[in-house]
Amino acid sequence: MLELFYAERIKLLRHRATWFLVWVFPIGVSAVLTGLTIHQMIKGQAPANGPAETPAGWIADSIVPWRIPANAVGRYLLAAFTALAFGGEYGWNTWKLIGPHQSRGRLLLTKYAVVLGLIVTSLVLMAVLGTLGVWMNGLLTDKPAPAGIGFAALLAANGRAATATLLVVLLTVAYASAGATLTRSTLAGTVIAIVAVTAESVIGQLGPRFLSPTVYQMLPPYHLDNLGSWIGQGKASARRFPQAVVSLHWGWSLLSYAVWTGGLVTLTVTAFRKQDLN
Amino acid sequence: MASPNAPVLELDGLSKTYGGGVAAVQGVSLSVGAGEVYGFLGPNGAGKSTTIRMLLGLIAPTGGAARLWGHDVRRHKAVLSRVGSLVDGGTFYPFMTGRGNLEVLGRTQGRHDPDRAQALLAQVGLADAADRKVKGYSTGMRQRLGVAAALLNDPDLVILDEPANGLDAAGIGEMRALIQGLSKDQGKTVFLCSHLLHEVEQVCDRVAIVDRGRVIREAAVGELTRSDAVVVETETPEAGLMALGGRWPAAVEAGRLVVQAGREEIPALVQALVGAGVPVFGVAAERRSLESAFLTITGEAGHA
Repeated sequence: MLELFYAERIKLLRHRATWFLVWVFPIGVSAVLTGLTIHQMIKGQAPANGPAETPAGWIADSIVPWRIPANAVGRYLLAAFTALAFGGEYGWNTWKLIGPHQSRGRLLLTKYAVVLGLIVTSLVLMAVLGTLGVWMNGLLTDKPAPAGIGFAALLAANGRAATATLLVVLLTVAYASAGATLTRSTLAGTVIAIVAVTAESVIGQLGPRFLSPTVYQMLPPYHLDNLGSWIGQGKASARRFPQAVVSLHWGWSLLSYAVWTGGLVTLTVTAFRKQDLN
Repeated sequence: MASPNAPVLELDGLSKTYGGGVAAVQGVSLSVGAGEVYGFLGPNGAGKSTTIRMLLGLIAPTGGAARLWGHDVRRHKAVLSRVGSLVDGGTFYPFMTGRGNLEVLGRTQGRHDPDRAQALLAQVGLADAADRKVKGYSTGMRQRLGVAAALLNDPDLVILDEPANGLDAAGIGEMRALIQGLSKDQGKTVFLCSHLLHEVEQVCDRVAIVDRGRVIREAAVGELTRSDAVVVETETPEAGLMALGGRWPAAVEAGRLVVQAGREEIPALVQALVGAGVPVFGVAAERRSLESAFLTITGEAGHA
């Protein structure tokens, strides 16, 4: 099983698209922070006159990069990467090369493991470089990090931000893998995932205007938002409808999320196991 | 439970009907023993590739079974670890090198051996191109890499779908020698699908001819190429033809006297010719090429 994992990792690491769909996150955050710091140093920007930043505020600034992969553009990139990993084998016609040598379920589950492994590696690297970048920026622009920032507090904040982001990422991976496998196409898988992510955003914001609370609660957008709210603020997210307010316990949202994500993954694996690989 | 004496490969009423009722393969049954080189022949669209894909577990049959060493491929996928295959002229990751592709395949098979991969790359003549990306390979190079990939796991059964596609004359000769070596020197069983009938004739022990999804003839190559005619070696074929007087159907073809007669009729035939004063220096069974036999058989099936 470990050898299969290595095989999948070799493939994805050697594909050029992995650079601009996955490694773009740490590279991009580092580049932006470096550029910002150089700009501020050249401009000789004076230290802010307002109240000194608190440890909590500094930590909140340092975890901002975790929002990037959870926003629409970040999700589009990760969807395209996932679609490549799952749909690429059809385009390259390589299921015929590897298909006879492993069970289909194992082949697909390994893909999930490697795709998520690479994404998590990239995002953790992004978070580490982001935190270092904010710290360096403060040092080089005379706005040093405030005293009293504890490593445990920093780690806990990153852990919460990472959990909220990875929930969004996992659902994106589920959309793209299902789209690519069912259509046998990287492009179609990417488009389907982009449509799903965009629809999620529209439903999340405008759903209360045109959906009933019951239907709204059956769809993923509220639950992602609610889980993010519970993780970040320790309370439920409230959505106001004309006759009701939707505000659920995190357990319900986690269950709904698990049904959606698990359902999509199960659909993908089941469909793949029944597919004729012509 | 598989019998220890089970054939290496057995197709039992194997069928595949696609949605819309297109019957690609219809009740194909055949059996291949250990160490055999078995040819699977047929015109385009006959169902050869679909059959091979069902054998490899890539396509689910809609009827019958494909068994390897007595195990149904669908239920015992592990049996495919003893099989190496080349389908579609070698399908590879184009952004990776030839060596990288073999590494991915080896790891997928659960046993990556860089030395074996290197030896196979050298054997198929790709040692110098091993570190070039596959997208820059010619058709023939991909085909060679496909053969290396098929042999990577040192399989007991090698399934080759058109292994000579894209190869030049020298490459075809090398492929022939390789296939013969796999069987004779290494005792492997080879299931070969090729449209190069001259090559099939030289390397295969038995062949099945398929047409429109059905096996229309299965026989030893020698049986298929043997005809019911004999060639009489004589200096006066015209006189011989006259001497036979219609007792046997005969003709003079390219200066040879060709007589439609079975082996048991040869003494009477010689007697008739010699009795009529026609000198006979020899009589040999007429051999027809596999290509000729193939065209005759598929032509008959087409008119049936």
